[in-house]
Amino acid sequence: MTAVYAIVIALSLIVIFMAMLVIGLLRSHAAILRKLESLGAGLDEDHRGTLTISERPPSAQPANARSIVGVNPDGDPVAISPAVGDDPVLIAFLSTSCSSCTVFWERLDRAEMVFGDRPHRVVIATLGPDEESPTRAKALQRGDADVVMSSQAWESYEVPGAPYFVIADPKEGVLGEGSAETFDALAQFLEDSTNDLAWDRRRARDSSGADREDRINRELRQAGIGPDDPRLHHKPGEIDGS
Amino acid sequence: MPIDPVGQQADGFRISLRGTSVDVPPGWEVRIRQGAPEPGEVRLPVLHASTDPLPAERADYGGGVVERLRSASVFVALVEFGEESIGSNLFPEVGELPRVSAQDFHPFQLQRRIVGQAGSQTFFTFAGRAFCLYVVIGSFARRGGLARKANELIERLEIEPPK
Repeated sequence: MTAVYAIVIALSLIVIFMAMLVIGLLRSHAAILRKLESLGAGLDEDHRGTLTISERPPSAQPANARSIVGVNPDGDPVAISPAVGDDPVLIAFLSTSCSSCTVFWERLDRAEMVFGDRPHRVVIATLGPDEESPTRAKALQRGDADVVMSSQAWESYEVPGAPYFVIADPKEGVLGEGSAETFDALAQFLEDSTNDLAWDRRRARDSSGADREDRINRELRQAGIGPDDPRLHHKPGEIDGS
Repeated sequence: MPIDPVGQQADGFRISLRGTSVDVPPGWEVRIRQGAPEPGEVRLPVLHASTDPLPAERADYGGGVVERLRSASVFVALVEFGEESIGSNLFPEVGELPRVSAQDFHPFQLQRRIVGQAGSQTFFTFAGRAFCLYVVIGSFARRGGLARKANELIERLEIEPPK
């Protein structure tokens, strides 16, 4: 009988130990998930495969679009400015060694591509030749894709890791940036950026019209002219020359 | 692979290849091309600069760029020639890099005629090396301002003697 009690107690202790172990593992798992979520790589189905836009700065900051200075995979020096031309520029920060970059090396195969009915200039930026293999970059380059090896660009755009994307407008500067897991997510992001820019411009136009109306009303009030002032409501022939 | 082809200046970037350098002005793109020579072949640097985007694929005298040059834009090519050209009649010695002026531009100076555009070609020997400075402007009518814009880049060029 004593032996049976001893076995029951031992089994109970083992069950309690296992339960504590499982709870500890669950807590650790939750902590890892929270950390991943904070880095924008959570498992929420609604966000899977989408691009996180970290910032969409106000317009009129073209200085945000910084030059990309480096060498191409043949070693020839290159200085590219996202502030020239008419088309938005997609800067794709890719690595020659990251597996999630492969789809973007394959699909970003032209120096000019259309997203959302608008042509975009495409520049692929890897780290410089001291940190990446130029021959590997050359092997991954597809079509007439423009590849620049530039650690300076990674630093100036504060790229957290590959793949990472920046969309810049020559006049408006950086429109958005972030990471994408799929090419479709990237294409959607570029289309949204173009639409958002059009929305910004429309809003700026509307707002400048409202500002103008406010200013006219204010100046009329200061001159003692109200809405019912007869001077604002002329009949034909009352003004010389009309 | 050239040693340190890219350097950062306090106010911008400097790129160089085999003794041809430029401090890149804001609003310009610059590429210096040499490419990988075939065995026994000597390839000399070709510098291209423009206030419009420069595609990766370009001909020495701007093919691939000038067709899309906007009316307010400028394209500059500095093409180096071989030893046989140094100091020849076509490539006279000059004491400083030639600037361009409105009078230098004419549509007939273009390698390939494009309506509205004009070009300027200057052959010279400087620092013991022979070059052609070829400039295309997007509008002949605006040649005064565009010549000044081209000089913004030309003034930042630096050519070292051959080593």
